[in-house]
Amino acid sequence: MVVLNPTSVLGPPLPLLTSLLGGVLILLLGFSSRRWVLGAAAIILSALNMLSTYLLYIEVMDAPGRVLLHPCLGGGPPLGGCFEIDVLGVWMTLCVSLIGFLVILYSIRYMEGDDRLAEFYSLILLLMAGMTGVVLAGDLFTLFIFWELACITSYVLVAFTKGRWASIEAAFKYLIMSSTGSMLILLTMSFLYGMTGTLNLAYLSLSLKGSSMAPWLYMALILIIVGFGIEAAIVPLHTWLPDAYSEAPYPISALLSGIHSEIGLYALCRLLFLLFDLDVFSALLSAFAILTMTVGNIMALLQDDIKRLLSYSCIAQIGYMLIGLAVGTMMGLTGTFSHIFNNLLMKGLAFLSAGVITYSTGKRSLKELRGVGRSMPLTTLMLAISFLGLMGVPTTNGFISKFLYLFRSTFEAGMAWLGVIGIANSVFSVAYYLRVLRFLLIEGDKAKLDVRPPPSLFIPMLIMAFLVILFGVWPTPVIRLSTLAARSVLELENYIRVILEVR
Amino acid sequence: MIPYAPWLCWLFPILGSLTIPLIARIDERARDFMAVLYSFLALLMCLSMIPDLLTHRAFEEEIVTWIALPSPFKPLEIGVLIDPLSIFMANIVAFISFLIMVYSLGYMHGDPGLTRYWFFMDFFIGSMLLLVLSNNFIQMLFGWEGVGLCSYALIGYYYRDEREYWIGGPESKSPLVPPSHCGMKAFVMTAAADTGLLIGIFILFIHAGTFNFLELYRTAPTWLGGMSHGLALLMIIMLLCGPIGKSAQFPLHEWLPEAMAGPASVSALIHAATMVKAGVYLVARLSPIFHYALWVGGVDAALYFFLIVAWIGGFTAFLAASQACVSLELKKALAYSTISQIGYMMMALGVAGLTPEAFASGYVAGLFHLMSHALFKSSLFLCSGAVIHACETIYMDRMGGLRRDMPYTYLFMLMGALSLSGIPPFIGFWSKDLILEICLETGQLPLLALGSVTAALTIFYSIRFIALTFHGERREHHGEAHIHEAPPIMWVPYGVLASLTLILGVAGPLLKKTIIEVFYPYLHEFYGIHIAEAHTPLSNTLMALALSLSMLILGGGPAYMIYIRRRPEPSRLVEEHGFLSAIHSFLWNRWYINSIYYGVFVDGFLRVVGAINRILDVNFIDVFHKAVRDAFVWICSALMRFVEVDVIYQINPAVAEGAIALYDRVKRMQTGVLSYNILYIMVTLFVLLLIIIFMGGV
Repeated sequence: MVVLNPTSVLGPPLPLLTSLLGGVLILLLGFSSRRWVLGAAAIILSALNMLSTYLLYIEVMDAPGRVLLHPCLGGGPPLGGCFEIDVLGVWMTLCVSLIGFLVILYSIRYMEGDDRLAEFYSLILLLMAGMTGVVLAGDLFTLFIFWELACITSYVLVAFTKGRWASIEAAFKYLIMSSTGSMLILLTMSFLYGMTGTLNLAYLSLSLKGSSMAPWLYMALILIIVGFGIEAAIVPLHTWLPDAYSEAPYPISALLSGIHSEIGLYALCRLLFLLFDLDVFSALLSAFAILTMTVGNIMALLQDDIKRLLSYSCIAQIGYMLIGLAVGTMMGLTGTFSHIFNNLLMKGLAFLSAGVITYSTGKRSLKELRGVGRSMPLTTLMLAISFLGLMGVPTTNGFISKFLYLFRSTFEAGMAWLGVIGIANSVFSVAYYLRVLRFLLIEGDKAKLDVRPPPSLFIPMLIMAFLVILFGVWPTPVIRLSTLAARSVLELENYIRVILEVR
Repeated sequence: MIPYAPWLCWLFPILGSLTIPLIARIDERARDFMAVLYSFLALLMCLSMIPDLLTHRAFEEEIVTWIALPSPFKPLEIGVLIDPLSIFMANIVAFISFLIMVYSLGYMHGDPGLTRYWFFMDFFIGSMLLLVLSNNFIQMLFGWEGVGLCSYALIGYYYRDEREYWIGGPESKSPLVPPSHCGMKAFVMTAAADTGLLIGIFILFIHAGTFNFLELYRTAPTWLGGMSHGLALLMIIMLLCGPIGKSAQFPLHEWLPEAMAGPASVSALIHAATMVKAGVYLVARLSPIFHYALWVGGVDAALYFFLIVAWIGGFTAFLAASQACVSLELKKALAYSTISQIGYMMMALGVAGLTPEAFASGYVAGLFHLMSHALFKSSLFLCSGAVIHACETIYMDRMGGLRRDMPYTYLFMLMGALSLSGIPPFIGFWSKDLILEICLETGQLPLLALGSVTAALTIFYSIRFIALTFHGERREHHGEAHIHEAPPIMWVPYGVLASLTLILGVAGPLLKKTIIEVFYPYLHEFYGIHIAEAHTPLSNTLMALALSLSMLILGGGPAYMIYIRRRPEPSRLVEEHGFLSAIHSFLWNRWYINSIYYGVFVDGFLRVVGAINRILDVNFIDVFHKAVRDAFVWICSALMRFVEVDVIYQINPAVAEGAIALYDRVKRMQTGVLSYNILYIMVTLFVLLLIIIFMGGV
């Protein structure tokens, strides 16, 4: 028996509703309102989004089996669309709404001078809506619709500084490559529909999981990995990412690197674990994990543009997260999901701090940024905290998820070689993080600033830095929720049972 | 209780201390005010917990899981334990620290390092409250080390080591020591003790699987019974290392006399009233566990815990009291007296566990004495601070005749001294009497004898320091203008403390009854400890009373003759009698324990190192050294020629260049040309398909 909450039984889940309607509302407000109204509305709407995520969380935790079902189009499973919300979905929604809120808080001041604020906030909220829809979707059709919503908004956001040719080029490249991915996903869907006659995830799982691997299934597996892998920036499908992230405005880079790539990872994880046995894809994902983190780290090593360096480091982090999927145990998945959350805080913080540096100096090249750290101590401290987290130094949250869960899980699952390569990569990555700090702090003379950074920019950064340290010394809440999320992925019977019962 | 009071009362001072340096940037007056305010808030929170004393139960506030440990160990927690013991301790700490913070406003006025002072004082108060309110060992250790750190920083408060802050001496008789050395000595000794404590806690954790005090108690017979006899003894000794070091008991008592190098307010708060009681608190916290294991669970090894505590306490009480009789520095005399009085408390807690019946009364006696000692000793230290401030000397023989110049201080110090020496009706009388009574009741006659002799010594040195300071002739070298009464902001706090020793002393029997009513039901209902009916025969009570009164006369009589009547003159007395002179020099040199420690651990270490250097280095190593060096140089140059130049010189740049070359290779992938990028996708797809087709799976 599925207990449906009367508040949410009527429509789609609340967080989705707030961000979707919020995006439209801000666009309407944009016709007449003053600038501060837009900013306030964006903050309020994203705060509402966080609140509704919390309500959804409570609802899910109270639901039997911790799974909720919202039928939407066409009368629900097996043929109609639906939202099936489990702890993993809520956890990802929480990530989306948290980074969305922080980024909007930052944009208020950062994007102050822009004259297309309504479009900007509206696109951010719609991007959040798209990502929320992907993680809550219960069938491939719904997932695909929201997938496209998220992708299309992010193309526009990457090209938001439309005066720059580089932005347009990056966005165009991103558009073409990501569309190729979407096309492959569509192809997969048609294969899967042809084989089973349903697009509902639970029914797909029921018919495909554990069956012997037919050639078409292999085809589907590869198409899934490549299709979603483009968005998740798995090497060698990552080539759009450094351009797109380094040409987007800083808050957008923070949002995209913090959660958008991970949404691709989520979809990959969800489908692989629902449809296939672990031993089918484990080796493949391990290979991709090694390739991704190694290439990401090597490419980040000698970058001169700080934003581009952070983009490559983002690819490396995706590689670490892939380790957890490849290991596929409880601990590995817990590591992946907690690293998604931690990476969102650390990488978001890194981009936002770099944003403050560029805001004050107008420069992105490390060679031109010599000595800037000494005139911006607080910003550099924030950047250093995020770097310590990304290196995985103890007392930051990156240590917990990367070393205590991701790498440890490889040793416990007998894939020690994967962990060793991961650790080697981690050591290697220290080189370029310290290189950035060396340029900022040690080299050159104390630099003069064009503009003093306004204090209100620091509010979201201080929150993130505090959380980085807090979850480094007190990881229990993150680990607990990630463990529940991992359990909901691994214990499929539960997920499937709810769908079957509702029929 | 104010909601969350047990959390807030330590969070306020700890978090507040962090704001002190910030506020100091704004305004110095505001900084002083805020520092005192934080301790006042802590006091308020603690006072609000007093009504809960009467519920007689132990309950834990919500516990937050901190770090999960692999099974079978319980996760590390953050939580507070609220029971009569913790509320009792927290209130003593908060109350006395608030008064001392007020006193500091006057005493420390105008000091250049005040920001540091307030920071560490507030941090100390917070850590101490954290220590007594923790529900588990690990969290308690944070407070335990926090107070140790503050103690170190505040002993060495005058870290520039100006000549006027050195202690020891006078020059001809013993060496002078700078404050930074004193702080280091305290830190090293207590840290050595804490290492033992940590080992003890880990042994205990491995067997019990938890750090939580209540769970440790509930499962005491199981885990303690599961240990071998020797291991249990080792664990008990290691565990007791901590309290012995922190509470300055023999053999780790030598740091406390030197701890007097800090400001008097610090000595009063940290080295008399609160921090040094942390050891007593820990023993009191653990003793129900061992008592339960011993008398209910039948684990014999637990008896060691009480034996060690009782005997160390009794011996320390006597040892330190004897040294207090010859000390020339006022604060050092008080420091010896503190060690001695803490010995009493330890003795009471130890004796309590030696029989099944007397536990509750011994436990209460120890805690009662802890409270009364906190009151009178802090007032004594604060008075001594005022006196030293006025006379600008630390030596008692250069004071004298101050009673007309500093009437309030004289009065209050006298009250404190009377209470210390156990004169009825001051509070010290009741608590000390209770301890002697418990020794008598349990038949621990050797300990009773030690306690009684100590009582006689106590009144002897009390009269001695009062008489040397306030009676007799004024010493000529301090001019009339210098000596003045302390300002009210200083004498009001110690006035309050001294008056309390009298007021509570007059109400002594009532107070004793209240404490008993609080603790007996708690021990009985919560720990299930058997409470004997009011059975103490009248003869025992009377005998203890007679004993302590006769000790007062035995010690007080000679002291009165020598130091107040000055007949015979004290210095002549020692010079004329060879026997007394020998004792004097033995005590003056602190039973030679200090010298032995320095000889063994400091000089001995250096000497061993020096010897190793001389014997091994010169005779042995140096001979081979040259040969080895030559061989080494030869090999090296060969290696240099054939390996370094030929091979390494090629490899070294190759690593760096390799990384860069790799970067260059991989960089090519990032062409930026869209068509190539799409090609990668297609190639990936194709390669994966090939893998499947030719390898039949992945």
